[in-house]
Amino acid sequence: MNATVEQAASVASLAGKVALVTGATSTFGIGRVSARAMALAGAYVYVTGRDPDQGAETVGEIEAVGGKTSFLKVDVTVEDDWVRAMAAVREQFGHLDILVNNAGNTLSGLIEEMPLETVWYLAHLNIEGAFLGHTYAWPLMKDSGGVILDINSTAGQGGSVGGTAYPSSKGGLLGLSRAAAADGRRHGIRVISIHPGSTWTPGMERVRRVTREEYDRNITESSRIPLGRGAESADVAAALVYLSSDEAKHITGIEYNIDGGSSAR
Amino acid sequence: MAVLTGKTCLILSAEIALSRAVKDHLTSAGASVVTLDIAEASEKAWDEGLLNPSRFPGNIDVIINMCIPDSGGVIGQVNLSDFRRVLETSYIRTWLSLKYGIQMLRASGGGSFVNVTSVDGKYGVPGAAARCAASHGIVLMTKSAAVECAAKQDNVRVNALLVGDIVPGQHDMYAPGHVSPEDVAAAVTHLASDAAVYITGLIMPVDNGMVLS
Repeated sequence: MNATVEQAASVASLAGKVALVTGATSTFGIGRVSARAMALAGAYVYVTGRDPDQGAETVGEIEAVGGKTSFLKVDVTVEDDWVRAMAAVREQFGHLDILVNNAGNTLSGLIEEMPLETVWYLAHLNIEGAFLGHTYAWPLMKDSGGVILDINSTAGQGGSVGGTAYPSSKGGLLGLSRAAAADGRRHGIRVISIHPGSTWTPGMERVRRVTREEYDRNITESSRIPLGRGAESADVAAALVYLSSDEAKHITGIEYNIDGGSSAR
Repeated sequence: MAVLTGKTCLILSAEIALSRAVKDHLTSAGASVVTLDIAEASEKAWDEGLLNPSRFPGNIDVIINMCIPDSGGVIGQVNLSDFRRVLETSYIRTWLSLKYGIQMLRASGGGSFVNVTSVDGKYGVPGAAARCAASHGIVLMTKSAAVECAAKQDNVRVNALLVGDIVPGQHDMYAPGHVSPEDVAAAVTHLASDAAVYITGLIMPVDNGMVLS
């Protein structure tokens, strides 16, 4: 079984909190589902992304279930976008409680065949994008405290064939999260590194041309996940609602795996 | 011990004190040692620097990449260009050295590649977001390169040392985190040697028991 969005939303109350989620407009999954769960849990959620049309669609989806939300256009690799977005948050609320650095991408290839541009692209997006998030969220968090959830991956915890660019970028993100947790302690800023394993999203059906049944069968046959199935976005959302709530106010600097037990093997 | 007799080692670094200690140690273990500093982080510079046959006519058996990043500074006080410069001079540079260095070692029939980075590849340290990011990234890059080479069965091993604060001279177990250049050099020599033929993908702290502090 996997968690549902409704379960994720009922994990803890986020009433009165202000959250910003990057990469939240893609129908691919984790950011959008998490934004919805956080809004259902009572937070005001800024959904951000590069595409205003998808942003409007996401806002409509959250408002339809009674959530409070708005869209801000943020390409996480563009510093000016962060400046503008955080200025908007400051003007409306004066502070930020929760930042979810979710935007990211993956590419793989053998090192001798991979161009340097790919390594830079993933470093800009997966490491620097989160770095900018931390940098611009801090002024809105350091008086009142806050929590930054960096969406990493189980790929950021081990090497793989074809992985000198992507897992290494997620490794870099983990280093950033750990250092930021150390820096944030005296300001009451918590930083948590979130590591989903293989996560089923509807986008996989379109992009990878794999059905849910095929995906599940592949995981069962390979037996690489002890629980025998992949995560869903709502499993990640459930973790995010808990870790961003006051229930988790003593949790910082950790790696939180959502991987069906893979990392325990 | 002449554990590196007959081997040629290439040290990739600027001339820092640690490189000199590593060079001395490798030489005393019987190796021939050459050093090279490629400042530019471009494919062209590294391709020409490492794969031009006229530059290195003989086999290179061991490559040591010195990649200890600068600290960067506290979150909120580091700007993007400074953060990026740390990534470029350590993380990106290490990727280039692996890409071209592994091909160099393959042309020699195999060999040992050693990244020498910071112990911040394992810990979160205040005031060092850039160094933590870069060295954590280098750790995962090392592991991925190791499994890629193992999958190809190309006899190339890739390992990394995570070194603590380099403090020349005497040191003891009462200063966890402090290491001498010679301690690091000895670990490099071991991983470079054929005695470590089964060791790949290892991330080895050389930090005088920092975990105990």
